[in-house]
Amino acid sequence: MVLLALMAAGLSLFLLDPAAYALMPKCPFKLLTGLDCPGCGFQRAMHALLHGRVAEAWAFNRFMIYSVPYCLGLMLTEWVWRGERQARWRKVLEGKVAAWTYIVLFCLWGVVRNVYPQL
Amino acid sequence: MNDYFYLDSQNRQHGPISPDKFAENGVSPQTLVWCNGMKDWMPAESVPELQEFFKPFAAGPQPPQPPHYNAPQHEAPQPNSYNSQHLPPCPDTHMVAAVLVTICCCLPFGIVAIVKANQVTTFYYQGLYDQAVIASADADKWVKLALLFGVISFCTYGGLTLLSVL
Repeated sequence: MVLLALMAAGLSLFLLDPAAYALMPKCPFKLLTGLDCPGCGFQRAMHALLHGRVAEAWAFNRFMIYSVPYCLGLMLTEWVWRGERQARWRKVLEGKVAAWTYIVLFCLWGVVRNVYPQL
Repeated sequence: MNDYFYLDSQNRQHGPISPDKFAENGVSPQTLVWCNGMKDWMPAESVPELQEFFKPFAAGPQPPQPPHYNAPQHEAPQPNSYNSQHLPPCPDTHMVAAVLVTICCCLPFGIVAIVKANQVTTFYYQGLYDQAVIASADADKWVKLALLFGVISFCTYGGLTLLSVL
C-alpha cells in the first residue's frame, strides 16, 4: 500500500513540475500561517532530484540531505532487510536517539528557514 | 523450572507461565515457547527441560490436536517473524510512513507518529511486547490522522483554486 502510494507519488513528481501546476498539493501549514514548514519545497526538491539536479534540490529544501537518506535507510530496514541485520538497524534507526535527532533537527530547520529565508 | 512465554495461534505472546500451567492454557508440545536464556522460540517439545513434562503426551495415545495449535509454525514466514530469532515478531513500527507524513507537511500529527513509532522499537527491545503493540496501533492512528488532515487540506485548497479559476 505505502509502496504503491510512493511509486505513484514518485512518478507524478518526476513527470510534473510542482511549481508549474496550481493543483499540485500545497502545504497546509504554509496556507494557514504563511510560514515555510520544514517540509516545504520537498516536492520541488524531489522533482529536481528525480531529474538529477542535485544542487537545485539542495536549494529547495536543505533538510532533505538528512531526511532522504534517513528515509531510505528506514525503508531498507523495514521492507528489504530481514533477521539479524534488520534487528540491528532497527535499533539504530528507530531508536530513541535517531528518532529524537530527527524531530529536533526537523523543528530547528523549520525555525531557521523562517528566520533566515535567504538560506 | 523456568517460567515460559508462549505464542498462541495468532502469534500473540502470553505468559510467562509455569510449565505445569501449560495444559490449562492450551500449550501443546508444538506450541512455540521461549524463556530467558533461550536463543529462539522453540516448540515446547524440543526444549530439553520440558521434554519430561510432555512425556505423557508422547507415551499415551495422543489426542488429535485442534488445528490451530499448529498455526504458529504456519504463520512463521509472515513478514515480521524474521525477527523471532530472539523475540516474538516486532509489531509494525510504521516508522517509514511516520517520517513520510512529516516530510509531506502534516506536521504535528506526523511528529506524534514518529514518537509512537520509536516507542514500538523501544518497548519491543525492552521486552515490553504488549506496550509495543499498543504503540504500534497508536503510530498507525497518527499516521492516518496526518494523512487525513493532508488530504482534507489539499481538497479544500484544490476546491478553492478551482473556484477562483472558474
